[in-house]
Amino acid sequence: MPAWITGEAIWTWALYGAILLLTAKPVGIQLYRVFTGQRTFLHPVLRPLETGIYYLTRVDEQEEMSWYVYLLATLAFSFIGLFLLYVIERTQQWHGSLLNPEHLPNVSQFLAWNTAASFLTNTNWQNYSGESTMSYLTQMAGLAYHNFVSAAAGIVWAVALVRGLARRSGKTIGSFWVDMVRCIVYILMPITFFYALFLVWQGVPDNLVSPTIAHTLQGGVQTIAQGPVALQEAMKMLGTNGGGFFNANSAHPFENPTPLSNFVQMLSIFLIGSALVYMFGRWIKDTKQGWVIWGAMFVLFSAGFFFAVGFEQAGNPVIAAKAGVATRKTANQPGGNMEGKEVRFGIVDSAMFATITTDASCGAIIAWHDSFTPLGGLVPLTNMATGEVIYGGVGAGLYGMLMYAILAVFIAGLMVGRTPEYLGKKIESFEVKMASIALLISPANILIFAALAVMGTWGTASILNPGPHGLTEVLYAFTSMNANNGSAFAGLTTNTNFYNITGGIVMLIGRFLFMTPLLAIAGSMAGKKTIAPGLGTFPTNGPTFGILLVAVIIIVAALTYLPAYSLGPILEQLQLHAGILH
Amino acid sequence: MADLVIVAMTLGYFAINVAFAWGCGLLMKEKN
Repeated sequence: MPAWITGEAIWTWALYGAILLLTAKPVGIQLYRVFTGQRTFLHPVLRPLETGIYYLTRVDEQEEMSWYVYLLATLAFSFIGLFLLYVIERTQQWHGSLLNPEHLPNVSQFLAWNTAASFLTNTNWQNYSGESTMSYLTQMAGLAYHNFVSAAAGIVWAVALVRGLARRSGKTIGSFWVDMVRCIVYILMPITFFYALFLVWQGVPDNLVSPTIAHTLQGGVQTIAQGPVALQEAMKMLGTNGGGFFNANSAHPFENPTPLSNFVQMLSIFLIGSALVYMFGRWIKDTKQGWVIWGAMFVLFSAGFFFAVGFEQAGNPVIAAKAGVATRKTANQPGGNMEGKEVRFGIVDSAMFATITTDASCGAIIAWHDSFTPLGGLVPLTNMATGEVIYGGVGAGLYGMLMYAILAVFIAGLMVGRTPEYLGKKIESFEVKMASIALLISPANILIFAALAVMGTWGTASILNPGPHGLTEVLYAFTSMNANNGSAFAGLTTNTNFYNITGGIVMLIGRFLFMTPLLAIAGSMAGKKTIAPGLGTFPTNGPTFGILLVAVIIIVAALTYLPAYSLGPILEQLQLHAGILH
Repeated sequence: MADLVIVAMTLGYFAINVAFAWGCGLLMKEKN
C-alpha cells in the first residue's frame, strides 16, 4: 500500500461515505414529500406558518408557472434582495449600538456591491474580514438572510428541472413562490434550528456582545470577536454558502471548535445535495436512476479526496530533498505538507474538507488552499471547474449533473446509434443546444475574465506569488466566483475596484445565466410526452451510464481547462520536482 | 456617483439576463 494512503484517510473516508449514504434516503423522502405538497411530520407545527405566508403575500398555492415566468420571478426576487443587502451595508453607521457595537463604518461602494452579488448568488466570496467590516445587523439581516434564500433558490431550481423531466405533458414547472416557502419552512429552518443548537453545545457563540478585550501575559492586548455566529454557521454549511462570520472561516475555533463539529460540518455540506439525488429518483419513479447518479458522484468525490490527500501526505519534495526534513508520517509527526493547515485538523481532514467544500459550492475552508501542493490544490480547482456536480451546491449540483446526463445520452446516441432519450423523453436539438450553452458559459466566464486580469497591472498587481502559482491564484479566484463557491486560494488581494466589479459580474453570470438554459430545458421537457423504452433506448439506470457520465465530466473538464492548468499547477508541480522555486 | 454606477450595472445585467431567456424562449418556439 502506498505510504500516502494512511489508515486515518481510509477510515475517515469510509465513515463519511457510510453516514452520507444512510442519510440520503430519509432526507430525500422528506424533500420529495415537501415539494410534491404531501403532508409531512412537520405539518402540524409548521403548516399554519406556510399558509400564513401565502395569505400575507397573496400567493395562490395551486397556481403554477411556465419556465419563463418561474425565471422572471427568480430574477425579480433575487435582484430586489441584492439591492436590499447593498443598502444595509451602505447604512451601517446608523445601525445603532446594539446591532453595531463596534461602530463599524459603512461598507465602501464596490465592496458592498461585490458582497451583495456574492451572497445573492450563494457564492459568499468575501473581500473583507467579517468581524472587522460587517455590523451584527448586516451579518443577521443581510448575510444570514441570503444564506437562507440563496440556498432555497438553488434547491427550487433543481426541483423545477426535476418536475420538468418527470411530467408526462404540461406547460408548467411549479410555482417559484410556493417552492421557496416550502423549502425554507419545512427543510432549511427546522434543520438549521437544531444544527445551531448543536453548534452552541460544541462551543460556538451566538450573542450580541461586544468583542472581549483580553490582556495577555506578555502585556499585549487581544480583541476576541464574537457575535451571532451559530445560526449563521449552521446555514452557511447546510446551504453550501460558505461565508464565514470570521475571516479564518471554519478554521476559527469559534466557528468549528471540535473534531465532532468538523465532521458534522463536512457532512452537512453534502446532506441536501445527496438527498436531492435520491428525491430525483423517487420523483421519476425509478430510484435506480437516482442511485446511478449518486454513485457517479461518490466515485468522483472519492477520486478527488484520495488524489488530494495523496499529494498533501507526500509533501513538498524540495523541502524533503534540500532541507532534509522527514515528510513521512510517523507516530510523532503528521508528515506531509502541513503548511497553511490548522494543526487541530491535520492533513486528512484538511484534504477532505477542501474536496467536499469544492465538490459542493460551499467554499468554507479549514486550511489555506494556496498552501496545498500544486497538484493537491488542483483538486479543489478542478472540482469547481467541472461545475460542482459532485453532490454540488444545494440544488446546483443536481441541475448541473442533469445537464451532463443530457449531454451523456446525446453522446451515447452519436457513438452507438441509439436514440437520444432521457427518462422516456426524446432529447432533441433544443435540449442539446441549451445544455451546450450552459456548458460553455462557465469556461467562457472563467477564462475570459482570468485572461483580462493577467493582461495588465489592474489584475497582476494583486498577485502575491510570481510564476505559475500566481496564475493559479487568478484562475482559482475566477473559477471559484463563477462556480458560486467562494473559497479563496488566498495570496491574491481582491479588494480592489477591478476584482470587486469583475468578480460581481462573474458571480451573477455563473449563477443566473448558467441556470437560464437549464430552466428552459425544464420547460421544454415538461411539454414532452413520455414514450416507452424500445430496443434503441440507451438505459440510464445502470452502471454503464454511470461510467459514461463520469467519463463525460472528466473529458469535458480536461479538454476545456488543461491548457490553462498546464501553465499553472501542473507546471508548478513539475518545477518542484526539478528543484525550481520562485 | 459610484452608487449610481452600481445601480445601472445591476439593472443592466438584469436586462441582459431577461433578454437571454427571451432568446431561449424564441428558440424553443422555433423548434415547435
